[in-house]
Amino acid sequence: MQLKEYIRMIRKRIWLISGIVLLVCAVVGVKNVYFTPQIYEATAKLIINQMPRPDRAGVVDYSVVQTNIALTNSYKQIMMSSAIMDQVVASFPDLKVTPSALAQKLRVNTAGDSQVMDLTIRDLSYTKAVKTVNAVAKVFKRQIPSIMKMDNVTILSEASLTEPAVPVNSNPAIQMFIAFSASLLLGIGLAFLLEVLDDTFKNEEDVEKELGLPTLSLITKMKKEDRRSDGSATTPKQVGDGQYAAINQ
Amino acid sequence: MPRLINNQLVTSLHAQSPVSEEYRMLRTNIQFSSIDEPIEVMMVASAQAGEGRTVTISNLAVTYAQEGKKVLVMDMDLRRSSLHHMFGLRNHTGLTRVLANQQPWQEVVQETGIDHLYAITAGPTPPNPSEMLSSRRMNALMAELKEHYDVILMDTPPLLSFPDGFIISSMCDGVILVVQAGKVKKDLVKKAKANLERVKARILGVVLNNVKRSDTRAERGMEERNLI
Repeated sequence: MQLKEYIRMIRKRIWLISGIVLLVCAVVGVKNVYFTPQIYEATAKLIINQMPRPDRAGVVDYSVVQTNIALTNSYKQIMMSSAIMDQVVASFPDLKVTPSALAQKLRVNTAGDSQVMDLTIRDLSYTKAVKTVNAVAKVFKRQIPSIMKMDNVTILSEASLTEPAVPVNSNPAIQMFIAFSASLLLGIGLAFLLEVLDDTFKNEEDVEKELGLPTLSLITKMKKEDRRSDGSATTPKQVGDGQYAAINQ
Repeated sequence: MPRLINNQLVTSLHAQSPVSEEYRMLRTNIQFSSIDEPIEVMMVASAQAGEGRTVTISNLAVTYAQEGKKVLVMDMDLRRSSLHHMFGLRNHTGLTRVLANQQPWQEVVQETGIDHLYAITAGPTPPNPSEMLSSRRMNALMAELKEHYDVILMDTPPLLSFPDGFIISSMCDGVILVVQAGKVKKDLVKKAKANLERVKARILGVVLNNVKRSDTRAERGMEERNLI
C-alpha cells in the first residue's frame, strides 16, 4: 500500500483517532491533577568519621578511612533494625508512625566508597518527611555509641523545612506526552485494523478486482443540498428540461 | 394537483447537482456498454435489501426521460414494493392486477409528472410472486410493452433473498448491479454475481452507491469544472 493510501485511511477515521487521543489524554490529565497524591522527599546526610587518636591529630589515616567505609555497610543494617526504629517511634511520638512502616519508608544510600550516608524519607507531607528523616538521623547518632561503642557518627546536614518543597512524582508534562503518543499510535493502529477488517466495496478498484465488472457510476451520498429543490424545478412538470436532452443527443 | 415527489429523486428536483451528474454518467455508460444492440430493458439488482435499487432506478429513469426517450419504470418487487413512494403514486393498482388478468396494462400505467416518464407500480402483494413473474402472461406483457416504450427499467427484490431477480433477469437486456459502498460484504455480492451468471444474465456493470463524497473522481471533476 502506498503512503497516500495510509493518509487516506487516517483521514477517514480521523474522528476515531482524535477521539481516542482526547479521551486518553483527558483521563491521564484528570488522574494527574486530581488523583495522584504528590510525594515529597527529604534527605539528611550523615558522615561516619572516627575521631583521630590524640597523638595523630591532623593526619588523615588511610586505614581509619577504610575502616569507616567498611562500617557504613554495617550502619545501613543497623539503621533499618528495630533497635533504631523503635527508638525513633518512642522518642518522637508526634510522627505517629510504626517501626515497620518507618523502615519501609526509609532509604539509606551510600555513594560508592564514601563515608557519607544519605537518609531519605518520602511522604505525602513535606514537613513530615523532613521531621521524620531528621528524627532518624538524631536517634541514630545518639544510639550508635551504645551499639558500636564508638562515637563516630556526625550529622552532616539535616533536611531543611525552609527549602521549597518540590514533589518527586514523575513530571505530569512527560506523562501527558507519553499518553498522547501512545494513544495516537493506538488510534492509528485501530484505524488500520478496522480498514483491514472492512470487507466491503469502497471504490472502483475493489469492484474491478473482486467482481471483474466495470463500474458504471459512483453515486455519492446525497446531502441536504442535493435533496433540496434548486428553484429551477419547483414543480415536477417543469423538470423535464429539454436542456439536457439537447446536450446528450 | 401537485404530487409529493420523494426528495431522493435528485435528477428531477436538483438537475444541476453533482449527484444528478453521476446518474447521467450512469446512463451514458450504459449506452456505451453496448453499441450494436441497444439495451432497452434493464433491471436494477442488488445482493441485499437497502442498497438503493429503487432510488437508483428512479433517478436513472428520469435521466433517460430528460433525454427525450419514452421511459417506463416497473416495480417488479411484488413483495415489498416501494417505487410508488418515489414518484408519489398510488399502489392500489399495478402489475399484479395485469398478471391476474384483472386489468389491461394500459390501465395500470401511471403518469409520473415528469415528461416521457411512466410507471407501473407493483399493485397488491400476491401470495406467489415468483410464479407470477415467471408466468407466460408476464412474458407476453413484456413483449407488448417493449413495442410501446423506448426504455423499460425494472425494480427488483434483493437477489439473495428471493429468486425473483433471477427470473426477471431473463426478460432483460442487461442487469445493473447496485452495491452499497462500505456496507455490503464482498462475498455476498460475489455470490449474487455468480448466481446471475448461472442464469446467463448479462451484467452491464456495477453502480457503487452511497460513496463518501471525498472519495470520488466525479466530485473532483465537478470541482475542477467549477473553478473554470
